[in-house]
Amino acid sequence: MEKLSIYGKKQLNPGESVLMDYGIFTLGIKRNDEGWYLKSFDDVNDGQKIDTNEIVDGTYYHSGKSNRLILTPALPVKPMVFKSSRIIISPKQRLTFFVNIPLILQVYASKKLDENLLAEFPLQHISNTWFGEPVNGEVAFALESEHYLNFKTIEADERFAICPVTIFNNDNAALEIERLIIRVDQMHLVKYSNHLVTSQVKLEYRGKDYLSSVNYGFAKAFHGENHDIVAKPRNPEGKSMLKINFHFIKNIYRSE
Amino acid sequence: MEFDFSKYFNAENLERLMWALIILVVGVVIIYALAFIVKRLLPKSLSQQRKMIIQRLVYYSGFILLAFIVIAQLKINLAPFFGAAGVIGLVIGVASQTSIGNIVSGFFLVGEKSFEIGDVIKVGDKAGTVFSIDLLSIKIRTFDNQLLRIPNQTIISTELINVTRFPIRRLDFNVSVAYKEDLAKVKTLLEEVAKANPLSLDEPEPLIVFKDFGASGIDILLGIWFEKQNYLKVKNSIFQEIKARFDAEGIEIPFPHVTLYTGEATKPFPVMNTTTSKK
Repeated sequence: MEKLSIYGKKQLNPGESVLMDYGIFTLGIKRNDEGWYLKSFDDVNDGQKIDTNEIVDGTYYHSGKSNRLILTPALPVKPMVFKSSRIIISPKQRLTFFVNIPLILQVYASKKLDENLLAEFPLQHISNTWFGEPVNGEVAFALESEHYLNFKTIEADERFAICPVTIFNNDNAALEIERLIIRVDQMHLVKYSNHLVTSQVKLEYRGKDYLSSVNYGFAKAFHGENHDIVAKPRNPEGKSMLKINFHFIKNIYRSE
Repeated sequence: MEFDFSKYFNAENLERLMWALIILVVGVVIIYALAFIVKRLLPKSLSQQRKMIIQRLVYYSGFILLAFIVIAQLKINLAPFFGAAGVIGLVIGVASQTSIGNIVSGFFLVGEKSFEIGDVIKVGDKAGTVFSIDLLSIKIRTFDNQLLRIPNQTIISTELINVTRFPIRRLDFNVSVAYKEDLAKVKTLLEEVAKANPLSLDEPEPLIVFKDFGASGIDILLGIWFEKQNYLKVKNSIFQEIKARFDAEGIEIPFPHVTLYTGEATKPFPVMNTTTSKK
């Protein structure tokens, strides 16, 4: 991915507008004297023409005199829950697998600074889910990705980031992953080769009754030697800690 | 018998009264200032209810202390009062049975922590957000913005539902479809409606239960899990989406039909054999 085609910089003079196709929506951008109109056109059928005059029906961001807009990828704001009943890790074994994390499009005015962030648009429909028990869990996004065992076989897609997950089963019983929370809000997004890759999740599982430890880091095989960081963690605190990372369904009813 | 005013309204007593007034004013200011400082110093993580209790504690103890200081300043002899305390206590006890019951109930309520300020609760057919928990009653702000006062004693002896106690909730929709409908298709449609709604949680899974062979149709329960703050949005959107999907797929939502007759003057329904008339 030498060039991130759906991301990058846009230079528009006052009065000019542009339409960006992101698959599930088309982003209309119009430059005003000292601000930007942004409008997301959802459910646009193939071949359907969008009237650029409708962009002004969107939200107006008064951002200043700079005619430059930056479109950049970011990880979702909430953690993601990986659901699988097809991965079983034997005791004292370590497994690395990969999942695709859907990305968010961030729009910055002028420079990529926190205070210049205008809007965020999810590049995929992500459904909400709940991790944990109904009385004390946490809200998250559902990760509807398959898992991959080989990094090299994963096709490059600008709308997703590859997340390497390494789990060490430090218990005397086999670990059957039912629900695993991936705290993407605490991870970096890095550009490597043709891919966007998140920090590597390193988990140590110690048994159902114990908290597992997690930390997020880089690995040469997935991030290269020089880390080309595209986005920093949204919540940088708590990089290494003991947390509830696995959930085993017991109280949630099943309709069938 | 002549009342000797000079015995009570003399310079010495007036001076005491003046000092007592000054102490009262200064004392009230100090109590309010102290309560304000304490409120500021309390950690943000502390719940609103605990903050309120601590603040009230400052107020009540401050005012009791102030009352004693003022009484001492006025040099009022409390011995006769204490002597009569038994009788007065009996009288007050009988007169304020309900109030004392409410105060005691209030302590139990606070200790039990069934709800806190800001929670949405249902008491009987009333519902609203807990506005304040006071000595004698709790105040609820109803959804149509009225203040409802419920005595603590009523609360403690009534079934109460804390709607917002847990972070997620399930909202149940009772849907009815005609007997002729394909139930597998109906179930799939309801699953799709739940999945398509962005505010519906996909886990815990939506609940679909075929409840009853009803009088007019088959009754189905659809339970959607959602984050508690999205109640209204989920309720309205799911309701609309079910109706829209059923309409689009031609699923009939049955309803009871009632025919009214107004007596002998009413003519019978006009019935026409359309097959014959066409010929």
